[in-house]
Amino acid sequence: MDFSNSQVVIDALPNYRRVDFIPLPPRFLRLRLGVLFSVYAVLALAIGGAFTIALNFDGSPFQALLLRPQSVLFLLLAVVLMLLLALFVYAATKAIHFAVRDHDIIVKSGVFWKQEVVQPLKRVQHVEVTRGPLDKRFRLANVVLFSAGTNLSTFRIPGLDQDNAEGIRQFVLDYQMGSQDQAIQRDSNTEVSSGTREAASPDSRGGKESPADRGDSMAIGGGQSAATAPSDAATIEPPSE
Amino acid sequence: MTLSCLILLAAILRYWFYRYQMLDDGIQIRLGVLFKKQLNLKFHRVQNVNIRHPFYFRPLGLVTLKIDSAGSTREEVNIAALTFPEAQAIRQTIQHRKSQPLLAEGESTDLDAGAIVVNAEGVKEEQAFYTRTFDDLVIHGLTNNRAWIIVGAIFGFLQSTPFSVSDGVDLLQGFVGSIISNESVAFTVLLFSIALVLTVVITALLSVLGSIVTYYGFELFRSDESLMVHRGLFTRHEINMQKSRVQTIYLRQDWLDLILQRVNVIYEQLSHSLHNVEGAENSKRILVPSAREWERSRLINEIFDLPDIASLEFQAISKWYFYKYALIWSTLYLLFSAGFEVAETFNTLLLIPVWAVHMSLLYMNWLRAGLAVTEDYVIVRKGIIGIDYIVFPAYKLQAVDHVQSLLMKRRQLSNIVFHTASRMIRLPYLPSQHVHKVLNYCLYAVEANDRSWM
Repeated sequence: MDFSNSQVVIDALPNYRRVDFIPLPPRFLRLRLGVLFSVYAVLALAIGGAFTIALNFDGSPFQALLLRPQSVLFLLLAVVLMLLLALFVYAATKAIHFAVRDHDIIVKSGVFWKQEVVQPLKRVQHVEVTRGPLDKRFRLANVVLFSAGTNLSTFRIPGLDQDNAEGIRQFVLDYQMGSQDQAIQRDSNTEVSSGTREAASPDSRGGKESPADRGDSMAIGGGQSAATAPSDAATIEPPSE
Repeated sequence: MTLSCLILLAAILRYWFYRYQMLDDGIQIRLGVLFKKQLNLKFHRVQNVNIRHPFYFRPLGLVTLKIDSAGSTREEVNIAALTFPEAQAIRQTIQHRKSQPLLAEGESTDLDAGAIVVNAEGVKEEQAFYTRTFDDLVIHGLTNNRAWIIVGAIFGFLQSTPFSVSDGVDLLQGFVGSIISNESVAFTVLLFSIALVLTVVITALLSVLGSIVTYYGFELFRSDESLMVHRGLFTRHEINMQKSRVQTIYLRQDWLDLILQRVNVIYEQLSHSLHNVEGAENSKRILVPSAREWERSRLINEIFDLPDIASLEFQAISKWYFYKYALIWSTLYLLFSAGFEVAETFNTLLLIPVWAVHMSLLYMNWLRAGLAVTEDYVIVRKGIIGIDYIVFPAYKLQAVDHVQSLLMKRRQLSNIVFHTASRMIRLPYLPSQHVHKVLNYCLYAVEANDRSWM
């Protein structure tokens, strides 16, 4: 009988922190900063314009807001605020890293509050690749993984390279479809985790995916596999300190 | 007159167009008079099959069958006015088919169905595994606020009568106004304290009443596969829960429970709502009201096989957690008292006992928090006065988080977040080293294990 019951050494378990985390492509940072600046500029123009009109409403000769002495101070404040915001966006975007392991995906984020979220692929209910109009222009995409339970616990990697996102999606689908071995093999083939921008995804569907298609392939609770004891059942010391 | 005729007609039409049908792999419902709706629910997605005996059906011996889906609440199926044997037959069919996904043996179903009936009767005749007496329910009513059940019913009733709630409020306001205009301060204080005591007593009474209405005749049955609960005074509920689908067991103990040595044991299933709702009507959970504390192991072990939780060693959270909140609150108290001093409205010395109680509660809260990890299970301990435990098997985890602020990083502390299918559990200020070990181990438990979490 082929049965082993070896002890698991807690310290020898793969450490989710000791992986090579991959940063997001730099164009995602450019996109975010660009969005910030343009929104800010539009707002500043709108507010400045509104004030100009309001201040000139009393019939005094027309004078743009910028020509008034006190508006220099406001302008300065606005610029400082914008720089602070930009700094925060920069740090927050730079802080996002991800890593794909054989059995899970990890996302690291946060500036003041650092956070690592680990989503085991076995518990993924369905995968989505989402893409806004700006993302399309920058060839970016978000990967969203849904697991069971409260909807709060959706797992999201923003600002991925489009091909990379498709690669990850395919990796998750393959993991769900077949044996783990296949998925692992695929991983090494497609080099999803190596972080190269041109991760090859052979049957990439170009991002067009019908929700119906998705829903069918991954119905909840599809995994009604006969629960048998795993072959590598192990006695494990609880991690006590 | 015409209105009631119309309602009657609508009811008849609805009844006439309601059709259900058992298919090989699911159940199909067709309903709707003008707007037709068809609902297909696959057996393997069925979460619970509950039978309700509403009080208005009881003289007729009819029941309502409720089928919960693992998917969304939109897919819930209610089939009303079945006879009890019919409902039981449907339940057995569903439970049987659910455990044998599509074995392509259409012919042998009849034979199988017969076998199950025998099985089910075997379960039925068994002695209840756990029951609650009338006294237990009174205790449950006192320790847990179940008053809203009654209040809700009264409000519902009031709304259907010409006497509206706002009339009552107006009446009350007029009454209170006339008293306050009486000027005498002592009299007002007396009245307020009487009102307070009355409110407490009435709430407690209502709560006891609610508890009895909801949990009267509480019986918990067991089989190898599932748990079944019978409860309810007017409307009898039969709730069925597959053991393998229990995601977490939540042991909840309020301060009064601690004194009376009681604990509410809650078996929780997959839940999509943000907060796993407390409502007793929530069929996604089974609540054993006010179980005796020493019986909790029996109730846990029915689902999860682990030693007595009191005997486990818990990793405490860092004292910094207590310091942090003690500091924040003490500062607030100081600011308040400074404000009062300046305004000279209030003797600030009176705040000292309040502060002391608050601090000791914070300390208790720190003392309670802890995390234990056994071979297969994770146990989180929480609470302020009463001690709550949340127990779940590590392999049923959906996802995990590790969160750390910059200050915490300096002290090597981490927050840990467990996402289970039934609830999210957060534990703050644990030693980072320990958190990493626990997370690595939990991920191992999930990923090296092929058992289904459902």
